[in-house]
Amino acid sequence: MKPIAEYTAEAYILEITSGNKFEAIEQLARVFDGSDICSDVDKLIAALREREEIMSTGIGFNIAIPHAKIPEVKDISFALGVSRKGIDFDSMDGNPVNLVILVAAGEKQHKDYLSLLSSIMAFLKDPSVKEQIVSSADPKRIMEILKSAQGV
Amino acid sequence: MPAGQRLSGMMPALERLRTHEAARMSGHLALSILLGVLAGLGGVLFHFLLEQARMLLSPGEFISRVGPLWYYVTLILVPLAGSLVAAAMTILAPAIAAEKGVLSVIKAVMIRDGRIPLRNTLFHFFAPVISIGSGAPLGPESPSAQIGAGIGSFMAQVLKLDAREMRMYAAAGAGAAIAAVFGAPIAGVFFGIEVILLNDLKNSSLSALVISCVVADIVSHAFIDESAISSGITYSLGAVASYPWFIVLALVCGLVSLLYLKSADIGKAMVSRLPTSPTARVVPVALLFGAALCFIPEIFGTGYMVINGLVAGNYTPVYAAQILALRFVFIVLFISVGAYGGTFAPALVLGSLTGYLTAALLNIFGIGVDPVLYALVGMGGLLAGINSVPLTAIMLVFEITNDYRLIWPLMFVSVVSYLVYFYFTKRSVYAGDLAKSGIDVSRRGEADVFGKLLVREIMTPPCRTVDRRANFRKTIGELLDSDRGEIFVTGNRGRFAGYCSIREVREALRSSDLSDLVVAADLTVAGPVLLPDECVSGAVEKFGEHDIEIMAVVDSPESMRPVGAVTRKNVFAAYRRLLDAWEAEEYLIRHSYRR
Repeated sequence: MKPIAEYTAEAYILEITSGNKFEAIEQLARVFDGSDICSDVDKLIAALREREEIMSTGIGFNIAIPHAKIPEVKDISFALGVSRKGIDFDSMDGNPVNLVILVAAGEKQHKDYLSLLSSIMAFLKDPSVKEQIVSSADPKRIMEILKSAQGV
Repeated sequence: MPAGQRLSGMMPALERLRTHEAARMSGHLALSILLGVLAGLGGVLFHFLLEQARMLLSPGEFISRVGPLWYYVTLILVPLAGSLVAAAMTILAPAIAAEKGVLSVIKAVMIRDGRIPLRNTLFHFFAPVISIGSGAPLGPESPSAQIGAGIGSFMAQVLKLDAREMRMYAAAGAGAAIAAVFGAPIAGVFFGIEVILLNDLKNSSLSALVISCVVADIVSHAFIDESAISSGITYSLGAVASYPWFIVLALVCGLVSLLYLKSADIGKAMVSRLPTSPTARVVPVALLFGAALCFIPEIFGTGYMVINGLVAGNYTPVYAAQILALRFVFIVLFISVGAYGGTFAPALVLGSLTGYLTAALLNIFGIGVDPVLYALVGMGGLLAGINSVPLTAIMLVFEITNDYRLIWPLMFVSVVSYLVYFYFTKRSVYAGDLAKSGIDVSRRGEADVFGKLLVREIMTPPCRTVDRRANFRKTIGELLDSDRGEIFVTGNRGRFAGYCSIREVREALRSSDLSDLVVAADLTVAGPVLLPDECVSGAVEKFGEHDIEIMAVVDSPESMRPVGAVTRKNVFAAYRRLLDAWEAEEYLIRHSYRR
């Protein structure tokens, strides 16, 4: 398993403006438009919505990890979004979400998909890491924080 | 114990086996002859009824003597009445009506151990007499094959023969009835091999097929003394320089066959949009047909009179083209709306017209070929193309014309026409129709052992199933409780969504972090499924393509509800059982030959 920073890039990190979870997911997924990661972002958004309708991916502690697996994704990747005002994500603890990590995987990347989700969960276990990411608006700085988690 | 003593101890058992084998072979011979007699009589009776209907109802016979007004009224009413009676039969017995055509015989032999209920045989004896007798331009061969196969199957059922023998006599009966109806024993054998046994030359039905075809032909000749095609046809093979033009005829036959295939698909698609009532579907076609009959009476019935008219030089090319166009359209329409009858005789008629017109066209450019010769050879070309039966086509035309001079152009045109058709469709017409029923015979040669074994015969009940919305704990709980290490995941309305296996979710099991994040849908991997009536060879192929241990069996491609499971272990066990049965049978055959 590669370090998690290698699954994203500065171009895939942004500040989310919407307070609605589906709009936030769409805004974040759109970072893959025109990239080699996903050939059909509309389909990815539909799959993320469908997954979200089964059960919220807001895991509490102001964090959400929407995720989906579709054949149109070539390389497993994630996008990262920060929301200052918070998003209503129907989270387990009822609190608004400030950090959204959107994971997109290919149909045949099942093992990597679960490994990456597991690594992200482990990485976010430390509350200070989440605080550092949310308080920093700069993608470059956020990439440094992600890279600092080499062991994860 | 010394080897000599052991051998002498086995001698009584071997002697008993020899006696048993001799009785088995004699019984087989007697039953094949009996089947030939019965299928021959069935074919003769069917032919007799069709002839009576033709003499009573066809435009050139009895009704031509009723006066001009009644003549036209009758021409319109006869096909309508016949179609309505056939539609009523379909409404009264929809399940039996659906078991129509050669395809149902192939399926019965392949996947139902040759079992054909007697009521099906009786139904498909009378329904085509009504359809074809009242004018539908279809042929008697498909119903004949059903009648013959039904007789063979019924004989095996009455005598309480086993499944292997029932399959054998059902297949042989189909060929025998064809031999009787056409007076063509070799064509009957090839029909059995190419169509019913799907070119399986190793099949144990071959001896029964040959014997019963010969006997059926003898029975047929005892009652039917004239061939459908006039004898003593005169034609010229022409100069050697004109022989290359047979290539044109072959290509035209192949292309017309393809056109027929496409038209049949379009016809079925159009009819599927009409009301589902059989009556509502046949009435417009029958009325149109009746109206067309008033102008071109040659489109009535099976149409051998057209072939005889062509070779006698009775039709101008323009009139022949009109007959061809109308026959082509009405064959497609009648088949699409569910009339009873086959496409062998229609293919012969269309082929003769195609050949005749091809020659006429070539002669416009001063080529100088004999239209009668091209009409005869064209019969084989279109029969081979439309029905994917090149060898049957060659032998059938050869036998009904009884003219050896035709053999080489017939062979060439029939095979090339078939190749043209095959080049574009990639499979025979019957393989294509079977594929629509979920039965793949394209790799039959490679996976012969599994060719006749169905998934439903080896499947076990479905393994544990979870809904794709199930949470992590429930999903993992089901997985751990499963004795196979795999579970099925279903979605809306119980539709199969994929597999969840311990191998795939090992990572998730290692980390407790995922328990609040993932649901069954996240742990699901898409994969292939099987249908209950699919051959096990299909399952072997899918196991080869996917690294999975188990496959779900779903009820249908539409509803996708899991009804069973097939594991690699099931397949290996079935393979072992088949080999054991096969080896036992081979041992008996080898032993009897050594004698």
